[in-house]
Amino acid sequence: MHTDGDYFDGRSSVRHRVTLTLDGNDLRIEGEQIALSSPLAEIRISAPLGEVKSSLYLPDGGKCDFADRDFARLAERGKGRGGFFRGVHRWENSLRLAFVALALTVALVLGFIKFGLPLFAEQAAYAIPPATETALGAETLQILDKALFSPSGLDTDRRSELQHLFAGVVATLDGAERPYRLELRSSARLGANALALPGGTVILTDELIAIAETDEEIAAVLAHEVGHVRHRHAMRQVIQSSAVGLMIATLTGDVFSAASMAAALPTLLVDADFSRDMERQADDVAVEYLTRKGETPDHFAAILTRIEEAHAERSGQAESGGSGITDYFSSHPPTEERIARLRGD
Amino acid sequence: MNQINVVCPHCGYNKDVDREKIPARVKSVTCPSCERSFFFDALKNTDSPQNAPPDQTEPRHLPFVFTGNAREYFGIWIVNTLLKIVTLGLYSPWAKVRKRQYFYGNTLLDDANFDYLANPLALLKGWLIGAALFIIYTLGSRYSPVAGIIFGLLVFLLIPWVIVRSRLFNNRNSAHRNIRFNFRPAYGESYKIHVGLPILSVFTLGLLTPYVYYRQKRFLMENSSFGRSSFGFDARAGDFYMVAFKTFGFVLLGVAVFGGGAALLSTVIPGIDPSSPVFAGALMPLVMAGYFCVYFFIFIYSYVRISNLTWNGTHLGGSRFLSTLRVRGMTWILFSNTLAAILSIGLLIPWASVRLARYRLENLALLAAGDLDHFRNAPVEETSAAGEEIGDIFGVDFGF
Repeated sequence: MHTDGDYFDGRSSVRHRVTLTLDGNDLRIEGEQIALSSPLAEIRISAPLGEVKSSLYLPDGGKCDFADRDFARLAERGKGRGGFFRGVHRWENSLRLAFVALALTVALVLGFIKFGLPLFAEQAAYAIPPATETALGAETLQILDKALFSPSGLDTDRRSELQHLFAGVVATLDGAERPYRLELRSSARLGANALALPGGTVILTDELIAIAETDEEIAAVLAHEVGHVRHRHAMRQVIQSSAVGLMIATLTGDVFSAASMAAALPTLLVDADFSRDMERQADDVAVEYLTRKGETPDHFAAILTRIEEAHAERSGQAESGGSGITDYFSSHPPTEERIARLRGD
Repeated sequence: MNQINVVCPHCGYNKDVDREKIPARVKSVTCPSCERSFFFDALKNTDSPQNAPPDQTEPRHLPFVFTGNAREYFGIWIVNTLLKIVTLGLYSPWAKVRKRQYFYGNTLLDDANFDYLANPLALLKGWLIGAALFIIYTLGSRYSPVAGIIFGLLVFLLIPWVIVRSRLFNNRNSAHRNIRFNFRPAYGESYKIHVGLPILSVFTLGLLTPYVYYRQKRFLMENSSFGRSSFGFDARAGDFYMVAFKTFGFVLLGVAVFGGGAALLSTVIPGIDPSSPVFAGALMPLVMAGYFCVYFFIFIYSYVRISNLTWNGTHLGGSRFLSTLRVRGMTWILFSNTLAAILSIGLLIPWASVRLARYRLENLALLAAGDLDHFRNAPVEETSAAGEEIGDIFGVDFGF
């Protein structure tokens, strides 16, 4: 079998037009002033790749390029090796197989994000030493104090009442395993809100206390936050979102800027999904608290509704219902859905 | 009488120009008809082409040609991605070699393709080192900010070394016509240019920055070689200052337009309190989008101008390069690529990569003095890939 090719001897850049011939286990290269022969076993053949010309690398440093795929296949068969990349090449070249690869890739990534990563993040979050978590929480509180919070305007009596209430919630939920602490703050930016930091610090804003009608409502919110702490949600969130970001960046790190921008969207969606699961988990703890105290979930439902109203009023746009894309992007499940869930439990 | 006929190599437009008006040195010329720039050497055109026979000294215009296509590369990309996932990243070096071989193999100059010869196993070793450093860095900076800062500083000090090692590795594993490229490992100069000058530039309030860019480009080009032939670089620092000057002008213009526009809106629309959250909520995304557009445009503008400047100032033996990238074309390509990548959740990334590669290469040509047969190979040693992979993992971006 013959084919035409270009021969470069590896010493100079001169191009020699040659004819390649497969002759048993030998390859012959013939052209003007060129007559070479080399055993196939000593020649390296480039892995097949798209429509790129094949290259033969000769033992003396010379190289031959040629376009004929059949010739390359025959030469490879003569060597009896290179099967793996021939398989990869077939796979890459078939649009059908490429789409199978695509489906597999998407399934693997989504499967890992949905099932593998939360498990991994949970394991990792529980493995982090409490001292590290506490230090991280203290650092976060410092940053939040600078950026978002001002000191609470409550008087000393009310404060110690709330501390007492919090201690009661923690005791009811057997929360002795963590160093729980309640911090009272005021925040014009966050409004009626409560946060759980890594390590066991719970922050409650004056604005939330103001709209609560009974202390049982505040206790329900505190129980919800204790739920976040108990399940290490803050740490899991940090681990999960950075892992997803890293993973997507690694996989698509192909075209500058385009990829990193495209990566932001799935991260956002996945993050929202994570945190909605976490909210549900924390809601369950709030219900657990109320049940233990012999109360109904109504207290929690009532304050949830009021918090939502307060936020809607603040943003000036009392959106009705809240469905579609806004639902998907919000980190909390829609309040109605949460309340329905509370009542159903 | 004493005139030279200047012909645009892109559209064929020609014009007689007075000899006195043409500078004696090599000059990049913008065609008045198609507005593309080309390179013109008055010394080599002492006779007008009508009465001079085309001889060996007339440079041949050899365009770079890209023959890859999105459908083919999509297959390669998706299989690479899948294999990377199932091997937990260990396939990355093979994926990288395959990708590069595809792009190099589809880049033709004078009907001969380029060749990427890196050994995936060497890349794997480098990748493992880079990945280990990255994990130490990530964990270190998460648990202790101080450790993060110290490590960040170390990485910063490592950059000049990484640049040299990466360039060395890539050049030595790139070949054309079976002649390898090489790079002179000038570590001292690299530290001077990538650490010393930038620090000095801070004290000049950035006035030195265009010069630093110029030196960095010169460093990369002048130390590169093809076989026994070294690349030369004769762009001038002044040209880099011109680009910087114009870029700065665009920055000012952008700030004025969007900042002024926002301020104007708040006064023109009656009955709106500019400090109200509603107004800020509606305006902020608009202003952000505006600034993003300005940033995007400035990035592309400087990238295109500096690329052209760098290539047009580069020569190899008697041959020169001609780079004719255009801001408008590049803006369109990058904008539509980004949009396509986002809207397709990343699936059009292979199409975007191929399109960008084609655009870049279609706008690069070699003005070859004679044929390309006179290059001689030089011995090249094996190089470790640690620098290349560390650079890749930490996102240090450089290259041809």
